[in-house]
Amino acid sequence: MDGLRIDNPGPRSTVQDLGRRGYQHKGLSPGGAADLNSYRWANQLLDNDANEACLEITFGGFIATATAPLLLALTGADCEASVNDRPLRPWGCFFMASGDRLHLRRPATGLLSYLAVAGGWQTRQFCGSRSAVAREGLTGLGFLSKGEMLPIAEPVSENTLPAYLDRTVPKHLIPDMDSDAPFRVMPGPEQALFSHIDLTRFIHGQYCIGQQSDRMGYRLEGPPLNSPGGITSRAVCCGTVQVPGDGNPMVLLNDRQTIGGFPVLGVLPALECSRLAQKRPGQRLSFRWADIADCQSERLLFERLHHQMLWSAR
Amino acid sequence: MAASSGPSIGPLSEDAVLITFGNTIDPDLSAVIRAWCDAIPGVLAGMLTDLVPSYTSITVYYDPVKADFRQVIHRLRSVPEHITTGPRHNAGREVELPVWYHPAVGPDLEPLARACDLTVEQVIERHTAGRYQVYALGFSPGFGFMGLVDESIAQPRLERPRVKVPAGSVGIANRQTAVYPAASPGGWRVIGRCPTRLFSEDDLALLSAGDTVRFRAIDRDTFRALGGDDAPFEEGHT
Repeated sequence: MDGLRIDNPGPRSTVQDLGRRGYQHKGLSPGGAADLNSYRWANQLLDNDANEACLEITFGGFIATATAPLLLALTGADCEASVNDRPLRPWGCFFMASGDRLHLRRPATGLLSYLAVAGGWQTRQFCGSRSAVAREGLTGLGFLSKGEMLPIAEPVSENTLPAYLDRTVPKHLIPDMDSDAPFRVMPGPEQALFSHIDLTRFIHGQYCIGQQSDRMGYRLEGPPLNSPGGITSRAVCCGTVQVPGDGNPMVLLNDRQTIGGFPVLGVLPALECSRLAQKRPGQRLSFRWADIADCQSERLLFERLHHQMLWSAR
Repeated sequence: MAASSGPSIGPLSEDAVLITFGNTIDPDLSAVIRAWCDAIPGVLAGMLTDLVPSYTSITVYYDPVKADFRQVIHRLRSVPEHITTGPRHNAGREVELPVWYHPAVGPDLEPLARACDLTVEQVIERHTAGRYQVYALGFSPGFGFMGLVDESIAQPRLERPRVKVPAGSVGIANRQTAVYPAASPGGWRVIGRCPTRLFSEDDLALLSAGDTVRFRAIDRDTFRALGGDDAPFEEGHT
């Protein structure tokens, strides 16, 4: 089935859904959309299932041509997107006729944009997911390349379009990517092994996102902490703040290795990982402690909002 | 040790709970961890999303929409009642992995022997004499963390990890040993190469946590006959 031809994928664009669940014990990284919030809204705009595959476009610079009529939605970092040079409203639905050209510029703020299609991109599914973890080198699950064709499930019918084309995410629900609010972090299993001085440094210090930061993890540079030393290796979850020997904390994200051996100071909840994944190397951030029960409540509110979301008919 | 008094169970993240059975690697824990892993899917039916055993712990991933951490922990405390205890009921499989131990494909074989004050033959002898538990899979798809290597051939990771370690490379890191399923960066000391596929997209990982592995020394011809790629090791560091 035709769909979208990639003319310029930009750096590190991939296909992502909610990730590969149930295979971490085989050593497979779960992957999945790094900004869950923007990803969920892209599917929500099109009434897609929550797990439909979207394109995760890193730092814009993306050009693609429709080879069939497409109903699409674009969320995440605002890349001043346009179709045939006609600007699109951010965080909304739009239509592309066969031959139309989509262009994303470099975002002024944020890093990741999500491009969803009605019915989801029908790229290769492996172990229940279409998510690409480029490092693993699995067939058809790498970075998008120039000339690649992304198939769709079925062409959009013209009479369904009017219900969608006015849709945009309400302004108050679009995250502020410039927000410098401290990142909430739940205490990790080895928190008690860090000295009071180091815990104070961590929570009152400012960290700078290092250059070697990607979907695997974000390296932070700032007040170094005295790592209490290696632990017996065990599974590491998304948002794990681990402290290796050099004392610079590292936050593990979706493409992390499934097992780690550094002491875990804390864990960022999923929606804070989403916020972090939109930050760029060189940006500054800080942390504050959060309670697991509060983080779960907030996640439930997020899930409920998406579950109960109804778009007003026009 | 801690297994008799029960493991500690606590929240790890909004969608994960950590079960810790102790702090030190103990081969006897393997069967306990395996028994828990067999029982947990029944106890957390409908909410479990992933289950990752390691040396002394199990990480349980669940759907936070279906249950909160208190409910999950409460259910996990009932796991011992659901464990069917039989002698070695939860023992894993036995796997034999052939290895061509040679400097051409194991650049650290000779330096490691020198550092351990042993001959190359003695290193091979001691590495093949071991019966290794697979404690965890991680690092990359199909990569099994195995131990414990005889203390006389235990050597720490390289100070500077290599940019590329070829697929099949057999490494030692302290008292752990492993085979790299695919070419990847790596810091383990490489002493040989294994022709067996440890990960494929059809069958996924050959090894599972709880399995037992023995290494068998083979020569170059056997290595090639078994489908091994004998391209010599090319050095490159990060």
